[in-house]
Parts: sequence; structure tokens; C-alpha cells
Amino acid sequence: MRQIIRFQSSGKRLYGVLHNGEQPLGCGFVMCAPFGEEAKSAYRTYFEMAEIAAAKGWSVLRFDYRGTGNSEGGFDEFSPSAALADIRSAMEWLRLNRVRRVGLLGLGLGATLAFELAAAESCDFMIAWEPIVNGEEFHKLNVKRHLLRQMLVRGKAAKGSPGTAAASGDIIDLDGYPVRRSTAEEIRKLDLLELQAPTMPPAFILQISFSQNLAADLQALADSCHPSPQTASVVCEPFWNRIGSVNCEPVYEATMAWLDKQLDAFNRAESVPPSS
Amino acid sequence: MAERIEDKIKAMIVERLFLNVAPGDIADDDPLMTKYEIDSVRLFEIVIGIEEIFGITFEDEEFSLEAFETVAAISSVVRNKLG
Repeated sequence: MRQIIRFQSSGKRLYGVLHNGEQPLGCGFVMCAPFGEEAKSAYRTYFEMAEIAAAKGWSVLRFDYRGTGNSEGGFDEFSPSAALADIRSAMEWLRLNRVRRVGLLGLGLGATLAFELAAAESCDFMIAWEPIVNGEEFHKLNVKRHLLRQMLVRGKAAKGSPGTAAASGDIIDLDGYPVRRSTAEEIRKLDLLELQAPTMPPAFILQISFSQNLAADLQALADSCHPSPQTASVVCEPFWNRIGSVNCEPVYEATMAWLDKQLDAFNRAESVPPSS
Repeated sequence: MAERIEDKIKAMIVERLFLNVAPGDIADDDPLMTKYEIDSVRLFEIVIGIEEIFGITFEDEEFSLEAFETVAAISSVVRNKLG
């Protein structure tokens, strides 16, 4: 069952879709979208993941950050800190709607935000699909994407691209989206390895790529946490960076396998009588 | 015998783009964009793959269509950058 919901976050009315099964488990998660074009390409995968989890009883909330999708605000109001506030509000909405255990699932920048929030605040579990470990590296990749688009349109990229020092004004182009310079700077400063040995809730880092070998930055991220999150890798096309449909079955299977184990752990914890 | 730059590039393209062809089936002068339907996002994968494999970084002014038209053209750019 799907239900369109609206909820408030720092004065903005946000749009969300709640996916619920016929027999809700009382456990659920908020899906944290990635940035820009990646969010568009990942849209269907997010929907399918939510449906699969809901069919097993998980309550899943997909939503649009302020300034994106159907939520209030202009795109220039989007920033990592504003998105974090919106994720908190989405989690609170789930808690107020009888979901006892609330976790997060994110992809790309959404996974990075989920990671930061899970390391700092109350969160029952966290799933990170291909988190951006270093914001500066992410920024460089976005600049390259921009250069490639220029190249395909004009035959050659111009030196000094938007998003770099050559751009002027408060609004700059980031992967084709107008963002405040301060937002771009905030993204560049993201660094999950600087979280200083964060204490994490149960967590799962999933690499989604052409290779089974876990990337060095994801391994370093897992090693930096306490307790260390479970890691896995699935061979699957990067659906968030593709035009057209991608078979994401390996992603769903790996995620549901981890959620099943997590549910067992929750059930075991709740069946243990409190010590006298 | 050391693997040719061209062969490394072909293997990377097939692996990263999940192409249903053998690396050896790609000719050095095959037009990549049209023959293998390489769009901007797939081209992005190729650029990242080349940078990772050869430890090089493309400068802004090096992003030109001719440089990425064929495996031979890409190899030429890589050779120049490797010195």
C-alpha cells in the first residue's frame, strides 16, 4: 500500500510517499536521495526497493528534500545541512506513525548524509549504497561530467568550468543544477573519514560497481567506524549514472538479506527479558 | 610481453560499460560513440577508468571529441600523458 504524505521540516512542506505492507513490522526506514541527475536516474530503483521491503512488512518513506521534486522551496535552498534537517523530520514522521525502529537507506550523497546522521544521532540502523566518502572527490567528478557534456555539445570543453574558481556570482552550476556557492563548498567539505571513529548503529555499506573487490575508500570507511559496518559488493551497472533501465536485482537481494538479519536481531533483542 | 595500452583500454571499456562483446572484438579504430552507443554518462565511466588504470588526470582543455572517438585516439592521448 502506498500513501502520499506531507510533513513539515523547518518551515517547509515536504512531499513523501509511504510504502507499507499489509502486516507492518513496526520497523522502517527513510530513503535518502542522492544529488541532482543521480536522484532522477535512481528514482525507479528507489521505488522498487521500497516496494520490495514493504511487501516484507517494512515501512518505507521516500521523500523529496526541500527545493527538489514535489517539496516546497527553490533548488537554491537545497544544501547538505538543510537535507540533514529534512531527513531528521522524515524519521520523526515515521516515529510518530508507530514505527518503533527507524533507520536510513541512502545512495551517493544521500548515503553520505545518512552516514553522518547515523554516526551522530539516534538511528536504529543505516544502509549506505555507494556513499561519497570524500566531498572534494565528488566535486571533481561533477566538474568532469560538466566538461564532458560541454565536449559533446561543442566538440571541446572550455577551460575553467562552472563549479571551479573560474565561475563567478553566488549561484554556480553543479552537475547542471544551480546551487549556492556555499552549498557547493559544503559538499566539498564532506569527509566521512574525518568523523573520528564514529560509533555507529548496525550498518551496511554496499558497493555497486563492475568489480567485486571492495574499493579502498569504502574499506577505509568501514575500518574507521565502531563497530565496523558490514560491507558487501554487488556487480551491477551504476543505475544512478545511467540513461535507461538497469536490472538492480543484485542490489535488492543484498539489501533485503541484510535487512532480514537485522530484523532477526531486533526480534532477539525484544525477546530478552529485562535483567532484574 | 607487456599488455598494449589499446588492450587495457578495451578491457576496461567492456568491463565498466557491461558490454556484451569481447575486448578483442573492438577494433582500434571502431567509432566508439556510434558503434557502442556511448552517451555522456558512459563516456564519463571511460574517462574515470582511464584515469584510474593509467594514473593520469585529464586537464580541462583535453576534453575534445577527437580524443575519445576511438581506442586508437584514446591510446594516443594516454601515451602522450605518460610521456
